[in-house]
Amino acid sequence: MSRRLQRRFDLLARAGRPGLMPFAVAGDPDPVTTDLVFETLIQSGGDLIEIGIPARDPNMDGPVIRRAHARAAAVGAGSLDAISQAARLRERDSETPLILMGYAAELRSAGPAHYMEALANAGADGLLMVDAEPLERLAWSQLARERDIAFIQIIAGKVDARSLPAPAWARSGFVYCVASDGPTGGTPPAVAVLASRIGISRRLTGLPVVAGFGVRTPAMAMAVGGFADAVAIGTVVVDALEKSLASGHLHHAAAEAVGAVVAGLAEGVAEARLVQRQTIK
Amino acid sequence: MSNQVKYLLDENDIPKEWYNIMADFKNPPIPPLHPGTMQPVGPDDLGPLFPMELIMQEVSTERYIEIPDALRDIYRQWRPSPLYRARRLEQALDTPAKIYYKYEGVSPAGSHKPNTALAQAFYNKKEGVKRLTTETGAGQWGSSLALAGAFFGLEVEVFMVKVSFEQKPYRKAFMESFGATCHASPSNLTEAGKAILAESPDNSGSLGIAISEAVERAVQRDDTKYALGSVLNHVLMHQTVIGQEAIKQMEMADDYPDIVVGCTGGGSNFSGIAFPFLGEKLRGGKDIEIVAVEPANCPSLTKGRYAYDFGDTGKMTPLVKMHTLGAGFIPPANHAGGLRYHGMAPLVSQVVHEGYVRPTSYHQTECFAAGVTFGKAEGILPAPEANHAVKGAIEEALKCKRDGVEKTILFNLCGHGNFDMAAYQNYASGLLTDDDYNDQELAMALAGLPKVA
Repeated sequence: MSRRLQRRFDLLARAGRPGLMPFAVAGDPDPVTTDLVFETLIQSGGDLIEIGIPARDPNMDGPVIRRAHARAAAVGAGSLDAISQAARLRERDSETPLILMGYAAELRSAGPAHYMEALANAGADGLLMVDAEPLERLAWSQLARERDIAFIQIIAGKVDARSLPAPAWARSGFVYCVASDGPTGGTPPAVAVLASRIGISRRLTGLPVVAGFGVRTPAMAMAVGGFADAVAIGTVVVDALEKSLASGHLHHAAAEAVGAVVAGLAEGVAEARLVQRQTIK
Repeated sequence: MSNQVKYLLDENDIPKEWYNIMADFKNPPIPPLHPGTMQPVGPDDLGPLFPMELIMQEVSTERYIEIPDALRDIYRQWRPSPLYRARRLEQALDTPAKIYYKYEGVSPAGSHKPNTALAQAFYNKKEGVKRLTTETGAGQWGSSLALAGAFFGLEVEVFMVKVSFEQKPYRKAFMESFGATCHASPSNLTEAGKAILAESPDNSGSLGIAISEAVERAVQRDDTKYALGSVLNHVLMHQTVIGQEAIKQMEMADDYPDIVVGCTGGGSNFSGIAFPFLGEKLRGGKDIEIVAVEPANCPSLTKGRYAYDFGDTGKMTPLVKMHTLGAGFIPPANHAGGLRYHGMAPLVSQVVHEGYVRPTSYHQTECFAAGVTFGKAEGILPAPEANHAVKGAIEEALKCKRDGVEKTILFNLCGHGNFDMAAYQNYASGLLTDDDYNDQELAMALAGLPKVA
């Protein structure tokens, strides 16, 4: 896996706490604001950053994130804007892992070898493709491996030895555990169910588990973080941005509003180590 | 049920899917290369030799591939095969170890080979193929394909390694009874065979030569395809019914192996028993030890090089990355004809290379001694190939005795030795020798490995 990603998970393990992986869509709602938002995601406690590649048909996302994609598309943002966003963040922060998340349609038209090369050159650390065909996934994973880029796979819903996505060599970095096959931003399952899914995923894959279960509050971040290696937050971040935009804020004001929400959730995951310790005992 | 010896499954417990270990590999499998272009071989390159469904199985990374119902119905003729607890062998060895063996000798041909022979015949028949060619070492595979040909109405032509052809005349009779033709290889029927005979008229043959002959015949006719009894990914996968059943049977015994042992020639019976267990280990299951046992005079895993090489002596196959003694290496004669192969299945080579499997080798006389010990205790005389697994398992059991530890050992008894009485006779009369390979010949064969960047 990417060395930066490895170092970050090692650091979190030594600190005895889960990480936080906030998400925003590159280009939402304009180049200046989005740049400030991503910087804020790091400053307010993001341990890993997930950069959404603007998509025309983000059909696995819920309405909040779909609107973010639409706003990005309205200003003409595309797959290469996610790369340049990563490059700008990398210039300012040499250590925080940057994960690009995209739909196969945009990545296909960008061209696998070309895009992976650009992604590596930008200093990004991982790629998450949500809807690739099996053979396509193999080809992308091979390109990722050659460039030491983590190729992240999603484990959705119930998980066991049979349903685990194959092949094992086409996944690296971490696995992204999500609640169900339904769109993002839905109702999360019960904590006991999460704990078992996350534990099984970690044992079966031998990789760190990042959990994206519709976490919206610091309390939920603490609960999920008690079992996961990192907690992904998407809808709640984009929602904060959207509300700020709706009240007429842009640029710094919008980024600050997002930062406040992320900082609250970061406090939640910081508390999670207590839960985790209790669980271990 | 503390004295239980046999763990038997119901016919409904015959696995419904084959298990594909490639799905659980941590590193990608290394692709076979076209010797002309040095590019990875695609489905089109394999089209002249195999039906499309088998080619798709060969490259699949799906974890499970469904076994067609029509095929499962034929598997019912002998599957599920029994799992034995070798209580009498444990007593004979006075070991604290618990020894289990999966017995594949209950199949009509007397070995594990029909598991894939029937599958291959099924898919060939489905795609309109009329005729299959193949090679065989000891005759286990040739017998199994002959049987499969009879079940599915396909003509079968077998090239049998000459030394085995002469040692085991009843194998030929077996194949012919099922309507197959059987030639001693090298033969005068193919260019590959003629070339070898011109160079060495007394050549005792090898699997590598027999493969060249069978492949040559297959590519000459549109209605003819080739069937390989081991080595290829899909062949190994068909054998995983063995290990999948064994997992259920070990559950019945309320036990789980610490050590799994199999013998290796091309790697198919070994994979059959070991891969389903290794898959569980790769998915975070118990950290078991896996041992591959090969003949000391054909030691591809223990003495070979992990390199790209041809699968056959005539250099007609794609280049595959495997443990190899060199395609030109002719192993000294021994009675384990099924293990006399210069190479190894790429998937087995990869798991050995990555440290999941410990290879080891023994000479044939010590293996026969182990087979006789086993036979006296358990009542089954193993095939000479299977004697290698028996020897490996007994060595592990004796180690447990020395160390005073109770481990659970599972091995695959891949076939009975009822066609191999001439070999047992030679062993009993002290005529069996342990011919070592010639160091210089091995060095020459290795020097001849193709150069791959």
